[in-house]
Amino acid sequence: MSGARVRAALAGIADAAGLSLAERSVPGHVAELSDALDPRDRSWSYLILAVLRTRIPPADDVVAFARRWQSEGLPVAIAPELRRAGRGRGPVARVVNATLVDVTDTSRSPYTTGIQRVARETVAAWKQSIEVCEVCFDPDTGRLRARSDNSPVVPFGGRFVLPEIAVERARSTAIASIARFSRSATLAIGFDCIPMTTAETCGPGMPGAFAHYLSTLARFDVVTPISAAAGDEFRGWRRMLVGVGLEGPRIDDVDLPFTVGDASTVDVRQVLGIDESDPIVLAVGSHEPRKNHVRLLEACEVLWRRGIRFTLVMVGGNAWNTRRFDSLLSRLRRAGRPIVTRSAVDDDVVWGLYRVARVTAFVSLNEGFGLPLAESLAAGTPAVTSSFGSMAAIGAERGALLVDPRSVPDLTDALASAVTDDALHARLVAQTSGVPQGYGWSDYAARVLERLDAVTVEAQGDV
Amino acid sequence: MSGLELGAALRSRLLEAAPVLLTEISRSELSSLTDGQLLRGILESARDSTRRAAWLAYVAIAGAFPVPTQLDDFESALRLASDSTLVKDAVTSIDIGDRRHRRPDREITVVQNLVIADVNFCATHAHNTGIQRVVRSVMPVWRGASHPHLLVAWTDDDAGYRELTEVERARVVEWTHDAPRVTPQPAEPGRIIVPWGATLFLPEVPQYAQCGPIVAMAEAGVVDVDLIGYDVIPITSADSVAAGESERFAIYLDVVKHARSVLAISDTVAAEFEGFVAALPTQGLTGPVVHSVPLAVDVPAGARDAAAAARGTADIPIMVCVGSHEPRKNQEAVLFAAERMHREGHELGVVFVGGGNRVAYADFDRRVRRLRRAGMRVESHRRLDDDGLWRLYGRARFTVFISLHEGFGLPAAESLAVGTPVLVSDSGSLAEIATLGGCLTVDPRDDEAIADGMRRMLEDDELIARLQDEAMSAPTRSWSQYAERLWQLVGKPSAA
Repeated sequence: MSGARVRAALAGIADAAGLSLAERSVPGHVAELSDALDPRDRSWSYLILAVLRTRIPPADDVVAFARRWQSEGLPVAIAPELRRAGRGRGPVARVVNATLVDVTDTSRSPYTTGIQRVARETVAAWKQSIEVCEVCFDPDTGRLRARSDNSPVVPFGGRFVLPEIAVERARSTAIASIARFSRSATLAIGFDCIPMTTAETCGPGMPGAFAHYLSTLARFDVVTPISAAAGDEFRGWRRMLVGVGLEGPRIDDVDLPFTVGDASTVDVRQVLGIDESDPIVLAVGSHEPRKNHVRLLEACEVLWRRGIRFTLVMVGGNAWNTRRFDSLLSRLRRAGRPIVTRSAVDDDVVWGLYRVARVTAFVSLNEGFGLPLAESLAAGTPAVTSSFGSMAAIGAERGALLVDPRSVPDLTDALASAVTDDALHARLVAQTSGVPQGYGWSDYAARVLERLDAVTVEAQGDV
Repeated sequence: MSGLELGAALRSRLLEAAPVLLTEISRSELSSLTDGQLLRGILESARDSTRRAAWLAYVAIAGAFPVPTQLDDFESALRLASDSTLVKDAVTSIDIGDRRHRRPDREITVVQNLVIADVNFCATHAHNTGIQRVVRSVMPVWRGASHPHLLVAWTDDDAGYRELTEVERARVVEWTHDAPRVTPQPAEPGRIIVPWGATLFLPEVPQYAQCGPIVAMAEAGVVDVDLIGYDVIPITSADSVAAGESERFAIYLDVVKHARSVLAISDTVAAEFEGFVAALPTQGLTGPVVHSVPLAVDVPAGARDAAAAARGTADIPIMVCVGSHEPRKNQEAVLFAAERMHREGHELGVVFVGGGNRVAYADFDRRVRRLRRAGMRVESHRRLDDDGLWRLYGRARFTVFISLHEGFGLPAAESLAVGTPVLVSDSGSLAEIATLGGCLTVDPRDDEAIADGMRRMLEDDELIARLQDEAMSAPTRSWSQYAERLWQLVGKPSAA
């Protein structure tokens, strides 16, 4: 049995290298590979290790194997790998030359974060136009598997696309190895560099893991940031690579679309128990520190004290470091302030909320894009948002009041105007018609694909 | 409020802060105020003024520096309180459960318009590599030149700055290798140094718990922060360090974000930090100005003599590789190339020097022993005193330093300073050092290029002679020049 498994693996390696094996014995196969392949091209070491191990080898292993092959010969270097492969079970990894899309998190997670929405919509759109092989890293073994039949695969000579972020170290290590050695054209969607540039607002563990993910992206051919502001972060990071002596990927911004789904027929006010006459101030997003919801609550409290009537609706959960938020929220609740919070709401309820809200408050300290802001404006509802980055780019002249989100007085004044000044509100509503029309997810996905096509030819064979 | 009796320490802290915050009241009037009047006056002034004033009021009340969110909560309490609840709301907003807030008996000294140098690590540790060597070279020059500055360290509970003890001061400005290794526990200070309108000089990378309080001071405008930028290795070479190190560095970048200037130790590091600064407008910040202030290229008196005395004493050509043992330093590639030279029949001796994690180098040392049994002249030393190092450089035909990422590359600079040629990486800060002369550059990620370079260094006597000449005549930059250049940038008056 074990000999057959090893021979199948070696046949797969030979096939991927364009060789047909004449010998029948394992040592004969190894000798043929040794004659035909040059260890100085490390993609061969990657290929051999990946197939024999049924998992992507870390770059350090690839380099160490190649050196040993070079100095002591392939039979010596490969011997321990053959022994281990012979003891292994299960199918031998299949070498795949195709467009692989890594949807590990998106396929696993029940949440719909911004990142997962982008990944889902994009991959769905790609499937309409090209052959896509969706792949996932197995959380326990680190194996890369085809999503269709769960079989282990080894990318080689095709394209590898990362439409989400990969922060588990084993996965990110494997992807770095793919980018360096698999002769694949590689593209990643770049969401932001927040865990590097705004680490103080992140949950513990994220900045360290994210730095590793960035070191993986350093080996990619192209990164497509989701906005010009996110692009500025990635271009800044790419400049930081000068000390490592790596050029880094091409950074090509592809803006996300402004879309909002159809609202269901449910009466959102009734569902949430909000009086018909009360204006709604809507905040969509988790209560993590970066979203700045503590200052937003304080600003709302000032408005309520001034006697301004409105209900604050906050939709979002799944956050960290919310102690300060929770404590202020319960204080305001005790004081009888009209605040409605929901952690899990169907998309169509959110879309319904955008339509009935007086104003959306989205005053984050840093965003790659800001989907809730774009969605609110696409629904024709004005917003109060931060005066910099992607939020300013999305909101300026399109129905948003721009404020310094670190200043509670500024935030308070802007919210007061949006809620009480009908003429201003009408002007802002009119401005929302400036939101780009007719650019949807399929257009976005097509633009990203163009960037991948552009690098495919030049990137293949690059090691 | 008349019945309010505060502890003596609190009253003393309020009296220290009051002249700064309550400028309209004379000092004699201040001391006649009751505790309650004093507290209310300071809180009212903080409420009606800037975040900077709120910071000082917080420190006076808590006896500790706040992190940004603590200052946010304090300011929020001031804004939302009514006149009648001001004192209660403000005081109760301070998180007394915080481990940095458990010493209400400390007093404070406000220090204005001065350069304050945070040398916490050098003051409290005897460790002496990279950063510590820079600090211990710079601070004595500043002292010798009578540049007015104050050395500070953190209290054990990271509550705030304190003055150094005599032993600690000596460890920073009179460093010797036989300095006491054991850290005498500093008498737990009863007094915190409170900067006000000062320049805060950070020649070290502050520790994780100290970043928050420094950021709060910087963004509130209490201090202008000027820091030495050493590298961004934990970010851009995150694949070669532990995740925790990257994480701590990302938190340190919050300090960088709010600094006035970064004094980068090489042009390459300046470019790295400029890249980071270019990422900041996305969050509405402009970030620090970045200056390139390259480190000294120099060795202590006696090093050149020690090296010269050892020159020509080796029986075969020696290649030396100095640096801590970690993947980034690329010792594996050096060993691989050296082994190839040996197989090709070159006569050479290889000496690795550098400490590190035992687990990290165990496998390397095992292979070194195996090669030695196979007849190759190769050694790996984990410890070597300075004098031994200079003699080793002197005996060497050349050194090899093909690290994948360095902020500066002290071993390469020191090899040049004693006249020994270097095989060095062709990118980043090491390429900068190569422009001084005396170096042959190779791509550190290309095994063939490394072997070719090593072969030339072994075979080509003319090349070695030329590189030796270049190394001997390379311009030196002394530590005092470096320290003076720093002072020109740091010592200018603070705008804060």
